[in-house]
Amino acid sequence: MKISAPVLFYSVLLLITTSVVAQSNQKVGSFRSINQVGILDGEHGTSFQINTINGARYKTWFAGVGVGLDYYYFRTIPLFLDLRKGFHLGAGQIFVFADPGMHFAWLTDQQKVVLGDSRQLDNISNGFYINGGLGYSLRFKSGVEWLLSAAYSYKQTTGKQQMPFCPFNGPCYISVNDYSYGMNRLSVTTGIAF
Amino acid sequence: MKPVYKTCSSIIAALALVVNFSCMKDKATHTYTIQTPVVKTSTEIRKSIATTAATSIRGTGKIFTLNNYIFLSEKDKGIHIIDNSNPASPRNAAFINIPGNRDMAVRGQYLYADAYGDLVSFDISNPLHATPKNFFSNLFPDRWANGNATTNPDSLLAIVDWITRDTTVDLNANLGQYCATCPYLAGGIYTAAAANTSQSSGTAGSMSAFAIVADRLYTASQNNLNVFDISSGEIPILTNTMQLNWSVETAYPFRDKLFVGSNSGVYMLDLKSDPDHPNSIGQFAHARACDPVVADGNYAYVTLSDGTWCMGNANELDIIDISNINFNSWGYTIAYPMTNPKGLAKDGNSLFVCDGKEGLKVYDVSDIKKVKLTAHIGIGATYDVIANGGLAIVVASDGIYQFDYSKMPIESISRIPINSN
Repeated sequence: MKISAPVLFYSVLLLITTSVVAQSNQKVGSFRSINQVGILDGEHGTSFQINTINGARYKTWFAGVGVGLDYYYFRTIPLFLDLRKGFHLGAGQIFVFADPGMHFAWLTDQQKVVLGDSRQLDNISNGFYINGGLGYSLRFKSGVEWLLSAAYSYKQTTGKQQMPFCPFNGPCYISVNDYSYGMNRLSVTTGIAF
Repeated sequence: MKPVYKTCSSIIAALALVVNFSCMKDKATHTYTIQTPVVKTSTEIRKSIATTAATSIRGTGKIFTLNNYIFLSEKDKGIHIIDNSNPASPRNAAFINIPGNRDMAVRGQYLYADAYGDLVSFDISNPLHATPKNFFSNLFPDRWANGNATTNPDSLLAIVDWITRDTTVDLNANLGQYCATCPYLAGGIYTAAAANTSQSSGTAGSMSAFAIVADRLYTASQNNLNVFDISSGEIPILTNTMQLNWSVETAYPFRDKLFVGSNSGVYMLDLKSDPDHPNSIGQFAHARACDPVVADGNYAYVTLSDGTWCMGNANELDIIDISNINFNSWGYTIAYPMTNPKGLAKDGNSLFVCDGKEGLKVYDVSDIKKVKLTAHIGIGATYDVIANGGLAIVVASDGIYQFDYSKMPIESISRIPINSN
């Protein structure tokens, strides 16, 4: 069954929100919610991104599930696992993290046309997504943490177009076009965790 | 906060290094098929033209009826001959292998069909054993790959197939831009529209580009109209080639007139004064669209449809007052919206319209200002129709349907399936 990207996005958001409320009510201290905004910079310019990661912390380790919006070149919804390890540094903490997962294409009508040599693609697939880098976090007295991180980010997708074509001379045939996109970006995010 | 500031600065600096020294290039590729033509000479093609046992129908095209037979062109393959002695149980009886065939016309015991750029006459005194009699070289030069360069049958080349191979190019330089290396060949699609023949010449569907009036055969081909004297039957004599510059698609004969549908309008040619040199006596210009046409004494019925080769966006049925043909400007026009209309046919007050995926629509046109839909038959995408004597033969994407419309409601009689596998 094909999952609609917007439905998936809002479903995951709802799940996370429910999870946060439930966890808060249960006062489980290991729960942690990271909420970030940032930019993605690559060959095709700089774009906005936003994500929320929710999971559990154990000592200096953290594991969670994240979902967001990625506007680089074509709009997608990344859904990923987040694994991170912190190292104390002064008042704050240096951390490294990796976010493997997949993204769900949620193209605007304009993007559907632009992608693939200005021709409308029959379909564009969901694809592999990964984000990995390092950052710095600073905990305030309230317990809320401020985070700044930088990462390498990659998203990949393919598109396919099949079009019957009948030249004036010669029999008709199906013209097949396969497009493959691999987007390499620098990701800079900032946000809060609680 | 000083160490914090320092740490953050370090991170940003590291990022800057990553940006400057990494290969932050996006990778995009476009894989497409390149089609390499397989060609045959006219001489080779002529040798393969012959009547064989019936074969399964894998595609549909122009349609023609004569006596108890239905002639169905399978585009570029040949003509299926269907014994329709019993419309409730039609029988696929034989197949005439004619590479490059798209159109046909019948008069008496002779069938005329195109084979790429050639015209072939067949003796069909026994339709199940049609035999090619004469070949006329390069009458439709556009159908040959090199038809404007030679007339020698050993040198005329037709593209009969494609060899496909995949090619991948890097799209990094123009991601999201127009691709100059697109795999499409130049050229448009040739689809002639349907017409209706007269006299003992059987009945053609309205998508036909061949028309017979009296002892003349008119064949529309892009910007030309060829006129043949077929009074001798077996050996048509080319009497005239008219340059029309109209991008002609269909030819429909009505009495001593010939309605020619092009993708920019419908033109009426008078055949009475000189059938070899028809005069244009009227026209109905419209937006770019495909437009088969049928007519009666007072009105012409034209369907406009968009499509890959027509490059238009009109989808409608136009009814044009042609009662006064002495003026270039015809009478009023009434337009009715359609989905994607193709062929049409008229019998009495009933107008049959193939409206693409909508199926077959039947209208009462006794009052053309108040056209009424009397039947809507949802079958596969319909292409053309012949309606005669209470029997409607409909070419659709999934078969050849026959309906009895002698009384209402219209009753389905039979269906010959299309084997598209």
